[in-house]
Amino acid sequence: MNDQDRSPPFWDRVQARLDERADPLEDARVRAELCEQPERFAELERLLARLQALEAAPAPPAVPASPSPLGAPVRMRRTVVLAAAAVLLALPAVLWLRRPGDEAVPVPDPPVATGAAGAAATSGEVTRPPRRHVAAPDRLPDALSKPLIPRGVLRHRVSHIYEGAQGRVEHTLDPRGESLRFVPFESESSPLVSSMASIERYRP
Amino acid sequence: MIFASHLFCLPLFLSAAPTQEAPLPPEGVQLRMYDVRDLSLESLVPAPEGESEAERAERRAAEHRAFAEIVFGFAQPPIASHSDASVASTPGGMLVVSGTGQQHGWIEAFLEEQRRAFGALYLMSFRLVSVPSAATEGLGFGGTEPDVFAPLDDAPVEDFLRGVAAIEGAEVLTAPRVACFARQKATVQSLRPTAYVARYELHHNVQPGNLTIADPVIETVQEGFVVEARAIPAGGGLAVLDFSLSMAELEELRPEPTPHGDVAVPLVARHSYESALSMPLGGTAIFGGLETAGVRTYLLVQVEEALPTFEEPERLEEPAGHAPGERRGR
Repeated sequence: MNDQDRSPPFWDRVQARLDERADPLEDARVRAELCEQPERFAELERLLARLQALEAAPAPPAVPASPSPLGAPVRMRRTVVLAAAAVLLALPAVLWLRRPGDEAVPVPDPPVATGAAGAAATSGEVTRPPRRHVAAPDRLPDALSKPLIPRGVLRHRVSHIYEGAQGRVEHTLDPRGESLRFVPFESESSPLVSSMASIERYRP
Repeated sequence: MIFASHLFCLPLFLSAAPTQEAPLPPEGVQLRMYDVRDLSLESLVPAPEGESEAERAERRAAEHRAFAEIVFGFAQPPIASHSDASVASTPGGMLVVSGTGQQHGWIEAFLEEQRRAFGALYLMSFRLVSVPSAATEGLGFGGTEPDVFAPLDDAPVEDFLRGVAAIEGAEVLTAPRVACFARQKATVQSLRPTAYVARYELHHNVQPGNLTIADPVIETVQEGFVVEARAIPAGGGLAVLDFSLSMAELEELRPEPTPHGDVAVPLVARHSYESALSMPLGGTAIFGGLETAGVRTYLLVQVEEALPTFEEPERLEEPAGHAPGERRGR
């Protein structure tokens, strides 16, 4: 990638869109410049793939409880206390709502604070890197073993044309039905449109 | 304490419980661009001799357009089913798709399948069977839509051909088998021109002597067939056979007298099939349903197994600084 390819307008625009947590491909100018210079697409694709991988990566380990100059443990402890209090308040209600008849229905267990380590793991989500919005289409996990296009007739049209001295008869069949048309050969004595005849039998 | 917490939490749970399932909003579309330059058939098919740069660019653009048409025509769910979805191609080889997440997922899998089948050969064969209508009872296959059979359950196909062989007056016309790469469109035609006098043109004041002469105008009528076909790998042991078959048969050159001499009126019967079938490799599809002048015409089409090319096509390994799909020089 040379400096010319990294011309400020394109990549600045891409970065600006990413900073807005938006998909750069939704920007019309980004798309226009990609159409003009498709080679940029590869690098943009790699960039988006990296971001996607980052998004899908497991959460980083929780911040250790030891004090640090940044003061994170203090916030962490406060978060832990608040989370534990909320769990303790919610637990009886959850138990009360779980009637005996509901036993067969799997109900997710309520989070239980087992101590500082458990609470820290729960609050670890807070420390995840900011999520970037990148379009992630649904993949077909086993596309090659399963047909991508269902077996059967996708399009079908059969026609039989008989050309005679005065014109031609067209008989067309397709899954919707059939039509039969007579189209006279154009001549001075027989204007084409007024002499045309047709029978159509199409299912609604 | 516990009772108090119940009172405190209960309203929260009730308000969180949905009382009525809200309708899902319609799925939006996303715009994505796919680099399909590596799927170009250019490395497999030699360029026509003496092709100019402009012609080459147009041929490439036409190939990219054809690829976009394939995606548009066969994507699942269909592109046409969503009002905001679209497919386009750029002359440089980018596929620009505005589609739902499901459609993008399908396209990614489809491109993967095309890359897997790149360089493979598909054999397509066409057989026309003409049988006197009175003798077709028991053969079956009279519906409008074709019947598609896999190689393993093709007993009805064999029964059909055995039945045809026993019918007096039945004819089988086998078109040449077409072999081409995946997605490559092949055209096979066999046409025989027949010339005839269509009319006379009068030329007045022809010297010497101010004569009027009637000059016969010769026209030709083509008889034979034209097949255009391509096979598109569809995964799961299926291929889409996308084809059109046109046949023309000169039934009679009927003489018509005119004041200047006889002319001829050609009476021509034309049959055409335009179809796209997703069918198992090695399977057979039987088209029935054309009946004219006491003859029923059946069409049998087959896509045979993909065979590898003799030489592995040179594929891009992505060296540093090269875009995907860019080919190295030979």
